[in-house]
Amino acid sequence: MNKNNWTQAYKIVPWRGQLQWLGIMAAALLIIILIASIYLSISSQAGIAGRGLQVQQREKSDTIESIAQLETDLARVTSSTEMRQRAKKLGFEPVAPQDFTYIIVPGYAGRPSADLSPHTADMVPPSVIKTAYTQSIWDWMYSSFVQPAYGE
Amino acid sequence: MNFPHYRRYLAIGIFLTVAGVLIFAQMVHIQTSAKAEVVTDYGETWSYVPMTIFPERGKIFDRQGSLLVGNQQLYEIGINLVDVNDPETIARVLESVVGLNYDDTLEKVKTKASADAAYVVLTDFIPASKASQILDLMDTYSDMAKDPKYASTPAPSLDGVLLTPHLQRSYPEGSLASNILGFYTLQISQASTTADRHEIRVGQGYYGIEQNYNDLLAGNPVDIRAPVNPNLVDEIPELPPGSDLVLTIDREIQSSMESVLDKHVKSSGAESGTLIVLNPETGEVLAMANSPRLDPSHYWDQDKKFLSSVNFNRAVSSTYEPGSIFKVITMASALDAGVVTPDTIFRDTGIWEVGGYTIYNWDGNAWGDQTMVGCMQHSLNVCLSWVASELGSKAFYEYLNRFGIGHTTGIDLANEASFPLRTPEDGVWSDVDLATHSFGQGLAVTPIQLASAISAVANDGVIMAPHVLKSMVSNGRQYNTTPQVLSNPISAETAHTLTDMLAISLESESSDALVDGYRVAGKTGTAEIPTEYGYSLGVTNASFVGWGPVDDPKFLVYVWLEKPSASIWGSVIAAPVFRDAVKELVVLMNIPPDDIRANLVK
Repeated sequence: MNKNNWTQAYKIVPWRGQLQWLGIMAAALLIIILIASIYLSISSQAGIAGRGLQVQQREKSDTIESIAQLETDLARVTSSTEMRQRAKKLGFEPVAPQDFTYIIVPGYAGRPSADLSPHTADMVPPSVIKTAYTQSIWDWMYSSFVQPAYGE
Repeated sequence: MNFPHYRRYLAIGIFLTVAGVLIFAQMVHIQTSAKAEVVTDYGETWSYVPMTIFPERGKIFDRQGSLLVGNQQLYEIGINLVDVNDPETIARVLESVVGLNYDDTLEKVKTKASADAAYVVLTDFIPASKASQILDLMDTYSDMAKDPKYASTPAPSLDGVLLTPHLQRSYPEGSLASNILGFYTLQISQASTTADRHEIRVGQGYYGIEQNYNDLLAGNPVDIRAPVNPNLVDEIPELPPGSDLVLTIDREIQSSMESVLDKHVKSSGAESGTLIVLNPETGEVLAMANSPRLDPSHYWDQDKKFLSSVNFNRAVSSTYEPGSIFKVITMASALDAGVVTPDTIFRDTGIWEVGGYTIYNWDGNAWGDQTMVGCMQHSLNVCLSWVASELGSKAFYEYLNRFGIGHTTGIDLANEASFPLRTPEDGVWSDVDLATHSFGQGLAVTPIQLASAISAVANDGVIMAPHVLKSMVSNGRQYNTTPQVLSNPISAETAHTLTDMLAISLESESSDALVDGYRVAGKTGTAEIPTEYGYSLGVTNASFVGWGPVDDPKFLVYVWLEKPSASIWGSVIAAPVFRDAVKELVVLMNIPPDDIRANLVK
């Protein structure tokens, strides 16, 4: 076989070539659509999560304010004036010094001072939002697919 | 190529490609040109809202952990003008629930919405209970709107009403210890520039603990730019709340002392009263009562309540001539220097001439031969003038300096005052000053200054720094303060001797300050009040300082009643306040009577 014969044997017909181009273009379009879909999907999820986060931040702020309010309410109903009035209503009277009976209680060192230190650690917690919600899609793809290849 | 219309397709292809390239180039140009920065900045401005995040302000507790100052949820009520459907209902509801004037509210609600007036604040600091009533009505009206009955006639509507919660200081104990605590104001300022369009809630502590520890209580606010676009959402930084403070004040003692003081201010007709309870061993202030007091939740009444800011807490901010209770300092100095002993005899002729002036006793009489105990018991000005002259001006003023007279004590409450002491080094000092200073005239002190100085006599000669902060809780850790020695002006022996002298002098005159079962020491004071025309006639400051039990002092009580009208004498007006205060104190501090304590020790 000479060269012309080989060329002739492997040369495709024009309509096949056009079909191949069409296929390539269609595949490219499909990939673009796919990427756009993923982008839109992730963006919308990030948007929903972001909105949810804003709502939760607001709820947290409300909860902190409610706790403060409840602490104040509790302090009000146990205030010295309130307790004195309640005791009076219940028939109690202040004890006069001459009515006291003093006894030695071993180990009793008087009323203790306030100890307000909580038992749990109270360090400022690290960021609670996943980085996925704060990154662009490119940053996310880079950190998700490229960086692990080096780092993990 | 030879398919039909090849050239046309080629031309269209080239045209679209060139157009695409030009569009892309223009996009790049827009993104990178200098003018693009302006547009980008403009977009950025409206994409983010600048915010200042304020941590929750720290709370204040008494020494047992009872809440004295906390935070509560209050509401701002405003109107989003563009959403208003029914101005009359809004005005009516706010009048009935919050008490706003109907006509004023209606006028504001009917304001036409514009770029400059989109939101109107109607009122603020509304308690949660009232806000809840409005929210319930909103729900009710919302349900009514869905009811077919209101298809023809519109249901009442509160659309446009906005309730915005925020924290504000709360005082569960009312006006208790308000002179110590101070108050906290919340001012709202509206930033005006476009780039900084947000509300700033600026708070500031005034007086007492709130002012002195404002930075600790406030914590560290953070400025952030919060994105409006949820896709750009960022975490609001987690701020630790401001530090909580635990005071040395005992709520029960403070309450009791305020009751005692209020009662005596009323019965004596005094203009005001001050009472301090110190633990001389540590310098801890257990109570500091003032009468009258401000309700800190109505701090805007301050100007109506007090003529001057120094009256907010007279115990630390108000200076006055103390009169005879200052003789404790003079006698302590003379005893410590060895100039006199309790048995030293002074022949009182009723007058003492010095520097061209004549000093008289309080009654103008001569008391004859008196021991130093007698001089203190009868509060003889002439005798104490002689004692000071025997001590000499140099030593006398050195002692006063060691007692802290003329200096602030450094107590951790805002606005502590001090009056400069005239000394021989000053050009204006004269010999008569030595005499008048010896019995507490011609000089001025604050109650805390003199209470702190005299605490040396109750604490083996050592002055402990008076303080109100017991501990601080920050980031979950509690930091306790350690008592500090301020000065050691006299020896322990002098302190014990003088305490015994003053206990005897009270017992000898059957003072109204005596308390059954407890041996106490103390001294009365009656001081004329200086005016620009000389000393006032018939108007005095009545004082008493005392401590006990004398064998192991656990408290020092300082009383000052300003301008009492029932009597001018400290022994009549101020001594009973001390007695009533001590009667309460020994119960609240669990101090058994002397005989029982002696048996318990055995």
